[in-house]
Amino acid sequence: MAATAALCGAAALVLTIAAPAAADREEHAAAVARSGIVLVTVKWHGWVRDKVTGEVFGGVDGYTVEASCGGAVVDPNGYVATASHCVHTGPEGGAGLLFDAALTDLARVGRVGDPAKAKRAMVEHALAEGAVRDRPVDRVVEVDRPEVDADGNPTWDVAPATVVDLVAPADGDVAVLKVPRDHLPALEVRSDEPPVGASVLAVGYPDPDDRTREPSARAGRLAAHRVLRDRPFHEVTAKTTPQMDGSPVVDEQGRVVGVVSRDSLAATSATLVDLLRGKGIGAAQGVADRNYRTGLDRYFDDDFDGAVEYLDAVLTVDPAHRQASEYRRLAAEKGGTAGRGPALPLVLSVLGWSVAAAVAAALVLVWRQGRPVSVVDTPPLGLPVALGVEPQPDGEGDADQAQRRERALGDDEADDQAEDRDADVEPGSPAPGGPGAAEGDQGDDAGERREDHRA
Amino acid sequence: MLITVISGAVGLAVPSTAAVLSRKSPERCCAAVSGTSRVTPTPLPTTTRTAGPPLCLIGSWRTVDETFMIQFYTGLAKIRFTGKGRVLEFRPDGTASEKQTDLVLTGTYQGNEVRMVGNGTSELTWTATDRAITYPARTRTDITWASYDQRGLIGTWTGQPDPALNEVDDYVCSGDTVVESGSTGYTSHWVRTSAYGTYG
Repeated sequence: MAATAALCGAAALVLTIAAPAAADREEHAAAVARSGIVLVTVKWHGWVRDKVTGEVFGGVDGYTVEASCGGAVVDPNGYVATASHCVHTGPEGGAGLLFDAALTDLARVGRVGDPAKAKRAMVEHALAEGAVRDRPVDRVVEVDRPEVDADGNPTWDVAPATVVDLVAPADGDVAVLKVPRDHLPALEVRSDEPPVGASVLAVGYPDPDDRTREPSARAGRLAAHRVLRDRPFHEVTAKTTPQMDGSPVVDEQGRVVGVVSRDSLAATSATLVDLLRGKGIGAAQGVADRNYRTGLDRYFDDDFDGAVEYLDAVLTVDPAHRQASEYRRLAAEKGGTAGRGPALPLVLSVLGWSVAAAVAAALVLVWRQGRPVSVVDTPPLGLPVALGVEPQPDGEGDADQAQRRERALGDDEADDQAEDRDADVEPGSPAPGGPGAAEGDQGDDAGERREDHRA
Repeated sequence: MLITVISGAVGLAVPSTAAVLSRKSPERCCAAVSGTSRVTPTPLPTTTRTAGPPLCLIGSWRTVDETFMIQFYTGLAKIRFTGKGRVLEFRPDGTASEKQTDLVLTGTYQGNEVRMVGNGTSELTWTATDRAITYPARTRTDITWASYDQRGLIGTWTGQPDPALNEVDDYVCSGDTVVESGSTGYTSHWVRTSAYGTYG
């Protein structure tokens, strides 16, 4: 029992050391994911026409509405994943926003009863269109990415975006955008499905108007796999805001496993992967992404020199990489220095080999000095004659030599060695995790067998 | 003891050396990203559309308080009549309708009550600015009026289409209510109903 308890204790200790705390894992995953998080801003301009009455809402200038969603770079060549309802022109996307604008106007003049019914009526009877009847509304999509300027101050890169392809909101709710940028920090997309219960993070901007904050990482679990209209979805428990729609849901390695949709649902990465493949987009990570990940691995392993080395490599390619810049700063604050290399392993390596070499050299020296004794079996030169031992048979000769070496090494060391030798031969208590425990069990069994035999 | 020391030292050295030897360097790739020649978003195009009729007027209304100055007796001054209950509908296509169901307008002449009772519907055209409604034409009507005084029914009259109506009235629309007024002493207060032009 004591051995089992010791084993459990040892195992717990090993686990404590080996496995980072959940908070650290979350922070690590969030740090990986934050590098690829973007804000997708869509501006819409158009009018709303009631197909039944012909009434056009929007006046001379029409409605201009703006919506923000989250998103994630999934390929360094400028490909961004988001929810399709953020960019779709239909009632669940831009048209819905224009309907809302029209309903606001109508409510102001007393033409709206129940708002929910009014929206349904609008969806059923109206359409959004451009300046010319039946022409599409105007849409401008922008992708905003956090960066740092040359002085390290936070800034934003605002890029125009086009919609490459999408799965309609009522279907899979995933869209892929393209921005004219290269070497963007990109997230890895996980193609397989994480199990129910897996820890996930929804990472995005809960309040897009607050550009001073980092993307928020909302922790949760994958509660269920759902299939809606033949499309897979994840039900997640992470609490998100509507402004986080389109943001990625990532696993504990910061890999994209879904895209925040609506009502606690996330489109699966499988839908995203299908969409990307359909457009021949590889969704591979770039060199800077791999260096960034390794830099974070080093950072969270408390190897701050290594973190600085890798994050510097990221910043060499992408000096505006905000997350790399931030973790590089943190690593430096914790003592990380560029070009210093792996200090502790190097010191331990040199020290270990030095001690081993020195002790081995001493052994060789002593062995050479003691060799005539064993050969001629007479008191060696310089050694006391009276050791209090008799010449030994062959089987005990080693002990004899050992005792002679004790004198050469000194009494204290000899005592230690003797104790070690004793420890080697005594049954003792089994070492945690070693074979001792098993041997003990065998002993118990053997005893029982003996008892049976006696019986 | 010495064996233990050596073992320990080697045990320390081997993994440390392995760590040192296995330690990789960052991957190198490409030239630094330049942010100077980036494409920036273009603003939304500025387009316009001909304005439709005022949003507020579109819909259906019921009059709750009206005043008319009507030439009731031939050759005599107009009499002030009041009433309520006309049903109006203003459509976005520039047409409107007026429906009267036993609409009763009452006035007084020389101490005696006089009445007009209307039934039927009219179709009109209309345009509006933010302050005035113009009725260019009455395109159709079947409204009939019956006139009464202390003697009883004194006559009936059927309305006629009027392609050159060109009636212009001022109005103030404040959501659920409209006050329309004309230069001849006409005033009418309307309240919105849900029969037409509302959502939800």
